[in-house]
Amino acid sequence: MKSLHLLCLLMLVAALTACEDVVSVNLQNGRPQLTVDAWVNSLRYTQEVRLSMTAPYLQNTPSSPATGAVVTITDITAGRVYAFTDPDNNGTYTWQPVPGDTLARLDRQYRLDVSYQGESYESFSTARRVPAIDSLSGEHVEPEGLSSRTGFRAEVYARDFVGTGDHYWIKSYQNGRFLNKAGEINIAKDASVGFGTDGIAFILPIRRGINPDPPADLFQTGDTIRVEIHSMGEEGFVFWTQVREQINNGGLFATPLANVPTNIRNRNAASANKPVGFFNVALSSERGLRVPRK
Amino acid sequence: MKHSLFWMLLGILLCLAGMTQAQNKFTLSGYIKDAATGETLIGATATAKGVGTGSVTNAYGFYSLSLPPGTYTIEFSYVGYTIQTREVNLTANVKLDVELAEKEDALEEVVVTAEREDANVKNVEMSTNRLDIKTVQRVPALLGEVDLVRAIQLLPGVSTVGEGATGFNVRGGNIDQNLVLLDEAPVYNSSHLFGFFSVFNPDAVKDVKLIKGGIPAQYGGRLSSILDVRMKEGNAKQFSASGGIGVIFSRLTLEAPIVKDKGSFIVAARRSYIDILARPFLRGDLSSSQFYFYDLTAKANYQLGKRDKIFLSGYLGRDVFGAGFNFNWGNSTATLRWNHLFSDRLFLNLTTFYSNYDYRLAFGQNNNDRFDWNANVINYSVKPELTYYLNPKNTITFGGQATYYQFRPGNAQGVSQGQVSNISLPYQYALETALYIANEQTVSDRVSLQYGLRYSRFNYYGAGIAYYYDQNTPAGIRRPLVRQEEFSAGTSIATYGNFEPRFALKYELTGTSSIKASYNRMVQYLHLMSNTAAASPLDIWTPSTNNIKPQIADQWAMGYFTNLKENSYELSAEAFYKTFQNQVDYINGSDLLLNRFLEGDLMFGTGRAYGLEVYAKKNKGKVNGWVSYTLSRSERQVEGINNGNWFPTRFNRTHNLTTVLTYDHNTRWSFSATFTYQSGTPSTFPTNRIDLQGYLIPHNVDDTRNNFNIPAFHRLDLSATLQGKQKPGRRWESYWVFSVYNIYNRRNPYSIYFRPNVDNPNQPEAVRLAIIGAFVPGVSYNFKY
Repeated sequence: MKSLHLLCLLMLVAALTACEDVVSVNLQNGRPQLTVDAWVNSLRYTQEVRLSMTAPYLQNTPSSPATGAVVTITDITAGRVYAFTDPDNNGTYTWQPVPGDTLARLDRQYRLDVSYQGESYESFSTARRVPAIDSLSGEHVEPEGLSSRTGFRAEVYARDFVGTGDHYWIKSYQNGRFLNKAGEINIAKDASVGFGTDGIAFILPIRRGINPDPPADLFQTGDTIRVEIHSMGEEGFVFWTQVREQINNGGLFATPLANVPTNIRNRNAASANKPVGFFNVALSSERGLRVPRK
Repeated sequence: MKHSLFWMLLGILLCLAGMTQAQNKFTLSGYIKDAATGETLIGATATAKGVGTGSVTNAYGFYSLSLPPGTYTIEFSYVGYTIQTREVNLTANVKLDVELAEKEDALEEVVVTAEREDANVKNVEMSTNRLDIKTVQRVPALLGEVDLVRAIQLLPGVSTVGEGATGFNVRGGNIDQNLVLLDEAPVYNSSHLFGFFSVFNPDAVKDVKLIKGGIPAQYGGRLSSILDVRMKEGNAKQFSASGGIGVIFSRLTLEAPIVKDKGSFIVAARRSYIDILARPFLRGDLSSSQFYFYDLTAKANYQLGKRDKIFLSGYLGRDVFGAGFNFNWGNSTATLRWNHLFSDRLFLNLTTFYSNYDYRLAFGQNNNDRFDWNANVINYSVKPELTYYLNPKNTITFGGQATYYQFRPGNAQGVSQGQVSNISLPYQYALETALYIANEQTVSDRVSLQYGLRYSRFNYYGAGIAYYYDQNTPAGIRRPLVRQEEFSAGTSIATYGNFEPRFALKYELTGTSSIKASYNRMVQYLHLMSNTAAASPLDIWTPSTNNIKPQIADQWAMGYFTNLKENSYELSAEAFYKTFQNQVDYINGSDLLLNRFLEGDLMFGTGRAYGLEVYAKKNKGKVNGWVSYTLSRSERQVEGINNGNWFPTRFNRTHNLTTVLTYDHNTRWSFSATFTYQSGTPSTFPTNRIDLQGYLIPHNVDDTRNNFNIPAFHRLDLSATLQGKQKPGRRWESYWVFSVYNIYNRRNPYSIYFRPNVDNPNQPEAVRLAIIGAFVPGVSYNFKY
């Protein structure tokens, strides 16, 4: 939030001379670590846990998948075990809910278990409450202020629960494609960005945070927009705050590069194989919209 | 108890110093001024010829010299001014004010310092640089805008994290460890436009002194340096005006006597004017956008009888940006000073000041959805200081200071769909007090000492809330709140007291060379919360609390100083070693703004810095200037960062070389050049990447901090000054300054950062950011009447 607005100010004043070039640097390559990407939710689609190995940062091929693992998520409260399998042998372990079934239920406690190459990893998560999306709307806009973009500026309306400690990850899709630029990471803490608000409607920057990030244009007539709100704990909020900061850490007011946190641990604390990644079981709400004509 | 100890020490010191005064003496005292403007001269000398004793004028131009009865030839001198000699018959105390005339050929023999020619060898002070404003004006400047802070960065031991970054780093210290004083009032943010320009209007500045080590006892409150900026007093003889138009600013300064030779004033204003030029070209919503900055500096002084003089000065500056949002920040200061002569040997300066730094950030054009936030740090201070010219061998300074602080870390209100949330943070209050005594003593022809003691005390008190955090949390992770306690108005939440000894020694090896050594302990009770590469105007100043302990630094320095060829060349080499305690650092993902539980995100560590500074300066002739080279290292150790190992700070610059050259071609043309080379700043580079949810997240497998250095910074700037034709009898003078910044067009890296390619998010890349990535020409027209 701070860097966002200061950056646009800085662009205004330093546009004359500031410049960015892609340069080649020699990075030290570290040993690969197991990455556990386990963000599952209550929505009807196939739930995935992706396992891969960290790659040298500048490598221009995809990270190699971690195959042959055993992956389960256990609903500790209900004692039910969900087995995730990797039918395509590509590191994507899936579980397909039958219609009407869901993995994530309110206030249940979950444990993730991963067995890979003789090591055993675990993580815990609690499914937290999520507000319904009251509406998804918007308007066609002309260039204004510092923005020269045209199109349909969408807004998602939802209201935070009373009581602090609610954290949300708001994902947005344009024609089925997840908007995954750094500036498109949209998270909320009690309806705002952690300033001590509570129980109010999501603040404007979050409501509008579902739009494509500049320099891309806004949504266009005929586009489908889909918005999902996923609940998470405070660690999840901190995780996404840091991911957002770390994957585009430029400008005068950059923060030092720092490793994002992980909530996955090796059961053998003495092992040299330390995992990275994150496990979260979310309750989710969603809403879609086809952009109308002007 | 501690206070009575202090007064005891004072008594002992006075007795010791008094022992050297056996015979009857009379005092010659007065002010040394500029004959043309009536400005008092700081650092001018009055010397009794043949006796070998002298006195240097203080910050108010006052000197005092005690001598046995008799007739003396007194020489009054100041660099760049004609020496004046007076016969004085001392049969009683004599008051003698002297006005010195600037040398006619001053243009050719350019003054690089405003001190006496051999000051760097003879004075006990070390690690101190004085910049004459005339020198600052000749240094090539960004966009032709003369800038004090940029000029300071050319001095040994001074560096910056990068172009466009606010502030400066002295001897391995953070930017918040510099006490920036404008007529004795602290300036909390010395930058316009984030850091491109500093807030000091060069037309209103008289004297600039940077003290990096051997800091005298009268200064305290910051660890690394004192930047003491003194404003002009205004022309006491006649009305005069000066000003100019540059690429960024238009400037105008007016000076005039209030009553001739009794009082005068100066008013200086600057404003950027790009917005005015741009207005016709802005369309739609942008036509109401704002982007400008200004500052207004004013000062008046008045002589009330023979023994009293009062000064009133003020500063008001602001940066304003807005386009669908409003963001503005600024400092204001006001200083009232009273100089009083109790006797010819006892000089009082009583300073009271007010200083305020505030900012406001607001979004939202309608009342249903908006955000409005402002923050301040306000202080009021009173500071009596007495200088006792005990005898020619001892000058005792003693005094105190009391500063009341009010911190308003955030008055904030958010409105979402018409529903108002007040998310303000409580105010914080503190009182900082200090007592000090110091003596500058000439022990023999060769040995001089400056020693003193400062006792400082900080009281963080209510009304307020003290927060207590879990101390057993592993380092590097947010500490959860255990409990909080409310304190009523006036009750102490935390108090700290510290003795700060100061010591400096000069030993003259020959008439033209000396060695010096110094030690000082500095204590800092205020902290700037900033975890970004460059500090931003939104960063908050925080007092020491029950969780945040005062920062402490100890510094040892030693140096060799020599002048060659009748003071044409000055050479010096200084080595320093500095340790830091209670250095604030931040957990990953710390939340510094509008965060009630900010202290839970802080970590504390220690620091060390050491280095060697070599400085050579040529003072006379058609070509002059200086070369400065600093080899240094600045490191921190914080549990929870870099696996608890030492790591270089963000502002560590191993090599730092600057060269300043000026050349006077003839009476109309002069040229100058500066070259800067600085090792690249340390930065943390990733080793690996984590592929998660479609994002490629940089990852450092060993969790090291600052494991790389970005490429070095170097830059050459040139400027040429063309004096207007001078016509006899006309007071109008004008000159043009043409400059080119970064002449070989280097894209000096400010940072290298990592991101996914914009078109192909699966391909990460390293990006070099150059804040000023091109050569920048500039021109300014300046006049004086």
